[in-house]
Amino acid sequence: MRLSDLNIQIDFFSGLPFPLIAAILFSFFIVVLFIYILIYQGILRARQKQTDRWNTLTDDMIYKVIFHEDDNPDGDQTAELLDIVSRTNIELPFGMAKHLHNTNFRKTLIQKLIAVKLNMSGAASDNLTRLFRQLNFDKQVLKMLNSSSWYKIASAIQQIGVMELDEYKHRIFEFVDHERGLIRVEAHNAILKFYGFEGLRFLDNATYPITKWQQIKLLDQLASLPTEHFTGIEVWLESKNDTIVLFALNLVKNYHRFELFDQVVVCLRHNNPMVRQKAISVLKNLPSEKSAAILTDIYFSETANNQLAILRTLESVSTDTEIPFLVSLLSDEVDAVKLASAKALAAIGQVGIEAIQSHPASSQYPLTQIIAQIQEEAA
Amino acid sequence: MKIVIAEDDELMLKTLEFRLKRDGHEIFLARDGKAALDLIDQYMPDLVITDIMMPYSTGLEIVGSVKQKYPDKIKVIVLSGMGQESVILEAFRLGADDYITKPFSPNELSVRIRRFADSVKS
Repeated sequence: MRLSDLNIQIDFFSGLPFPLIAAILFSFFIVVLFIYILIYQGILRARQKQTDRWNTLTDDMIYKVIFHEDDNPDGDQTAELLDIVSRTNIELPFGMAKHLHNTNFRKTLIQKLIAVKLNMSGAASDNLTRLFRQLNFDKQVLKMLNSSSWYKIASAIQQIGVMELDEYKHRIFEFVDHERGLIRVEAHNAILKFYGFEGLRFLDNATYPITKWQQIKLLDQLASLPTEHFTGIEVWLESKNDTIVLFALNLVKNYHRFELFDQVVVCLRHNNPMVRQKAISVLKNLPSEKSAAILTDIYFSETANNQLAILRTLESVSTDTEIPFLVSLLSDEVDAVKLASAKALAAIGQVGIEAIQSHPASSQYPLTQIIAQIQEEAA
Repeated sequence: MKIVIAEDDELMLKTLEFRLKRDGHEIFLARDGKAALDLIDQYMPDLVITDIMMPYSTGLEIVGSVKQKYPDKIKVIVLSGMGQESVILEAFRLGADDYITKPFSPNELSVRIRRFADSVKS
C-alpha cells in the first residue's frame, strides 16, 4: 500500500462523524467474525465427517478381525484348517489402504485396537495382534521406542504390552526406572504382562516412588495370574524406597507369606509412620501368638493414627492377656480410642464384653453409647 | 433370543451386537444403566448382558432390579473388567446367573448364551 492510498483512506474517514466511523469499523469486524465462524464451522464439520468415516471404517475392520475365524468355513473347522486361516492375511476393507498413510488415522486405529484388545481374550485377541503386525504397526512401535519424546515412548511400551509383541519385551527393562512417571507405569504393567511374578524383579533397583494408584494396578494385575511362590519380597521389605516397602507389605498380606513375619515386625520400627501403619495392619493377616504382645509394646510410642491402627489389628489378634491393656484405654481422652479398644475387647469374647461392662465409666457417656453400638453390631 | 446389552463402551457394545446378531439373537442396545432398565421393561428380553461401571445405574443395580421384578423370566450375565471377589460375590448374591470378567473370549460368551437359549427353549 502506498502512502498516498493511506492518505485517501484517512481522508475518507476524516470527513465522517466519529459514531459513523465506529459503526463502520464495528460492522466490518462483525462481518469478518461471521466469515471466520463460518469457515471454522466448515472445518469442524469436515473433520467430524472424516472422523465418522474413519470410525465406521475402523470399527468394521475390528469386527471383521475379531471374528476372522468365524468368517471362514465353519462346521468342520479342523485344527489344520484353522491354522491355515490364522496364517492368511486379514482382508482390509475397501478404501482402507489410502488412509493408512495418514498419521491421525493410524493413531485412531491403534487406539481402538488397544482398547478392544484389553477387553478380549482367545482367538479374538490373537487376531487383533495379527492385524497390528499385518499393518506394520509393530515396526512403528520400535521407532517410537527409540524416540526422544516421552509420550511416544510410553505409548510404544503400552502397545508392546497390550499387543504382546514378544520380540521387544527385553527392551522394556530400560524404562522400569525412568524419570517420567507415565513411562515407568507403562513399563511396570508391560513387564508383569510378559513375565508375571518374575517381572517384579524390577523392584530390586527401583529408585522412584510407586504411587498408591500404581500399586493397586499392579496388585490387580497380579491377582489375575495363577499364584506362585515368588521370591524377592524379603529384599523389597528392606528397600530404601519407602513405597517399595509398602508394596512389599501389600504382597505379604495378599499372598499370606507367613514366613516373613519377623521381617514385617522389623518394619514396625521403620522411620516412616506410613510403613509402620501398613506393617501393623499386615499383622492382622499373619496370625501369630506374638503379634498382640508386640503391638501393645509399641502402642505408646506410636502416632495417634497408628495407635488406632494397632487397636484395629488387636481386634483380630488379641487374647485374654490383652484385656488389662485394653481396659486401661477405655479411660483414654480420645473417644475413637475408647471405641476401638472396646471393639477389640468385644472381639475377645464374653470375657472382654464383661470387662467393658464392669468398667467404672460403663454407665456414663460415651461408654454407654459405645456399648450400645457394639451390641448392635454383634446382633 | 431377545437380549439387552448394557455397556457404556461404544466399541465393545457394537462388537457384542455384531457377534450376537450373527448368532441369530435379537439385540437391544443400552449405553447406560437407566436406558437398560427402560429397554428391559419395554421389551422383556430373555437375557440381559451388563457391564458393572455405567452412568446413572450400575450393573449391580440392574441385576438387583431385574431379579426383583422378573426373578424367573430374565437371565442376567455380568460382563465386567472388575474381577474383585467382593464384586463377583455381590453380583451372585443379587441373583446374577453368570459372571464373565474382561478380557473375555466372544466365542466363550456365545457358547454360554447358547446354553441359556437352550434352557429358555426347554
